[in-house]
Amino acid sequence: MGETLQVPGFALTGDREDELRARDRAQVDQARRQHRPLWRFFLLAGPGILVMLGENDGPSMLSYATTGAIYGIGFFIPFILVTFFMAFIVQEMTVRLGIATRSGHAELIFERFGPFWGYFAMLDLAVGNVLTLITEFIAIRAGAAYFGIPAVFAVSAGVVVVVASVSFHRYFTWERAALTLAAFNLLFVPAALLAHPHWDAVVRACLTWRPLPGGVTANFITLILADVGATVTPWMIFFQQSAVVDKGITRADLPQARFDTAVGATVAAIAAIATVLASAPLFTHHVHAASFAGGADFATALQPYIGGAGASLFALGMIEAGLVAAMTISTSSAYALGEVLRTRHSLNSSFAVAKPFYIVAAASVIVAAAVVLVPHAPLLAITLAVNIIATLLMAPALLFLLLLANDREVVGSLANGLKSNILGGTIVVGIALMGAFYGAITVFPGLLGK
Amino acid sequence: MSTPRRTAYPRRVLTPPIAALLWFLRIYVLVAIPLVVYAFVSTLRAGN
Repeated sequence: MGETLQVPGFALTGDREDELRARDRAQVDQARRQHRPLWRFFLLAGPGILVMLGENDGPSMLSYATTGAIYGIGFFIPFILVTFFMAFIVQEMTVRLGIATRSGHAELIFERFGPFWGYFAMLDLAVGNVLTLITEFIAIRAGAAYFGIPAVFAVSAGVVVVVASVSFHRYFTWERAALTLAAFNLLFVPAALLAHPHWDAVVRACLTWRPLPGGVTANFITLILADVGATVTPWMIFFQQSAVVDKGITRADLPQARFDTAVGATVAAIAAIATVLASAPLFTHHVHAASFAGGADFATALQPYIGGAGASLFALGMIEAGLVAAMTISTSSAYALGEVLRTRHSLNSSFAVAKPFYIVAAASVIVAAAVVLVPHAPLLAITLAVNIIATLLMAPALLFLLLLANDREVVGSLANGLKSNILGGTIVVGIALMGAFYGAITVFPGLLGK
Repeated sequence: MSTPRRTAYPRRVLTPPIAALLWFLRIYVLVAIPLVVYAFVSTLRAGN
């Protein structure tokens, strides 16, 4: 492990996890002393960017593509910007929680609210994550299908990438691998440019929130709720807080950690809007896209309008979206289980000392991939269940987030102030209500009429 | 840091408003679980 490092605030016990984290911290401290802000940000960036680009997952990108194909350039462009602002407000709370408590979200719920809510939060996350992981592999399979890659090969390759990324037993390596892959979320940008969008229409949409073809209909409300419901999901809250702790981010790093989250929200919003722009030609040419089931359908339908290169970028983007989300979601499950069971849970730990952590991370993706390959598997039912579970179970996750962010006994001076409570509380209540409403209309489609 | 080497936080003393919120949450969960099961089963029965 080399020489022992002295890093203020990090107890060194000769343990691999401590040593590796201390080594990362020493680099950050050196960057601070040498006044190299860009290098310091490069070292500290990760959890915020990954959580936001991980949220731009397979189902989310499909949702944005559907939005562009049905509504074109208009209302949804500024609306997406607002949803990512909301995501930033919510995720910033997890940064403060992680820094102040050096504890993951699941263990804080367990310790502060008791085993009942601790196990409930864990079960909530585990069920939602396994089902969401299945949809990520559906996205990987669909994107690969555009290139004629067999499902077995595509899904197996996805599993290998995810499992290999945690096999280094090094947080920094895992994070950099995930960040590198996540950069490919921006493949939707050149795809959008190949669609030759009218930029004056984009600017007008941002300023006027119009046009809104067809007006306010049941479909429109469903898409609004789906987009809001997909903006903040339970796994994001658990993942970012645990990653902040595993990375060893301290109070001195709070501005950089906030900036990391803001950069992630901005890049993710750009990719999301690019997806809307890339699929907008389907709206212009009156292509009926509501029944499209996967990325391959969109890529094939877009080929006449954005060319073979654009369609390929779109399909590659779908593969990336599924892959990065599979990495972050499986890790969030592993963190949370380790936190609740009080076993070692760090990407810096060796396999020998953190077996449950690594087994959960690998097993969750293997199970999800296997389900996708089962002939006649009820994938549509699973996708529907994922949407409903994610939205219905978001309310408890957000409620606990607000309660913990106001828990001055553990968060101290980093607790929510009046302004963040008004802003955060409004967003949390709004998202929770919309999520619950979305769940209800998905179960009872007749609620909104035709 | 990994949990085993960290002292656990003590259980939070619940004020009446927070206790009420958690009871509301229990009711919400009791409603949400059948909704999820209903949605899943009805989609399966609709022939996928």
